[in-house]
Amino acid sequence: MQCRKTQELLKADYLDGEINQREEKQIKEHLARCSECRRIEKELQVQHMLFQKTKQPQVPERVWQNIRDAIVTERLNKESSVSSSILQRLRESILAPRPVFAIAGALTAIIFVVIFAGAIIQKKQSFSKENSGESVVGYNLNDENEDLLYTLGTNIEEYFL
Amino acid sequence: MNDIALEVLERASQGDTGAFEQVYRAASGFVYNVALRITRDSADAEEVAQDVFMKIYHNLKSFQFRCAFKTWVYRITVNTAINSCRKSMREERDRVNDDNIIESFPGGRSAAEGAIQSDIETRLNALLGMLSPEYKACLVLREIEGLSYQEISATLKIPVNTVRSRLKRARQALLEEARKGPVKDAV
Repeated sequence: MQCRKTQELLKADYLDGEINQREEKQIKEHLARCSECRRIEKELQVQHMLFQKTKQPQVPERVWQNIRDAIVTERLNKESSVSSSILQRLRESILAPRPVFAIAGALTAIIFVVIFAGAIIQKKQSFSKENSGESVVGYNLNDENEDLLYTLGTNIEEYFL
Repeated sequence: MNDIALEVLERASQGDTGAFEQVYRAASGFVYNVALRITRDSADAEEVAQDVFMKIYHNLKSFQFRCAFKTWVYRITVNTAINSCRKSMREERDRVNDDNIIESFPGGRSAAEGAIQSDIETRLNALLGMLSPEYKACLVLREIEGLSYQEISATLKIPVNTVRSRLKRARQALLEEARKGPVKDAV
């Protein structure tokens, strides 16, 4: 095996143990007789050790606290947006200018007017009846009580009589 | 990443905060570490971790288990971290432009200089800083999480040969950078 090919394999497959047995044997044979490739292999091994020697730093606890806070905040926002959207939909459905509501409103107004007008008419009729009765009973004094006519008091009453 | 029971995932997907916390406890170490290696900034990594878990929270319901949960989380993490990294690079570029600094440093030169006085952690970060986010993602998934080529391929949705060539180039770039100077002492 040539130096170039050996060095290529040293930097990847050989170092990472992803090489097949045949190539591994060839590399070892080459390393036994080539000092330059041996030097490179040593450098690569030292580089590899540098990675292994580095300690794995612990994750600061604040990272989880921040994540948990973010999740809680997100949930609260979601819940409030859901309830506000329900209210919004309810409001829209009530205030929506739909034909059904317009017709119902108009009908209500008509019924109200009819009832109110009927009540007024009825009241007027009973009032006129009362008045006519009064005249028959109360003020049909004519000849018998002529004096009383002058004792009734106000001008208005006199006017109606 | 620790295994998560299907029942826990289902409860989490239904909005059970306790179950979601279990998911977080099982996956946060991986998510944070990958984010930290790609962004090389703890504040950015925390932000990425939060984004990733909020994405998981929002999408767990629609996650159909067509792929492994792990692979899904890996993918979200790497993509979010790469995006954050690109955003930071853009902002940094804008800031440099705004300041009218004519001298521009090639690639990770400044990062390599900064590595002189630092420990292994900083040296590694300095080396990773020289790689583009895509190459970094491949290397981190392989070296830190120990994913196979097949798993990296599924996570990043790229062919296995692309995984192979990215790893090769990334390691070559790190070797060259380490040979240049101070980082060599670290390596």
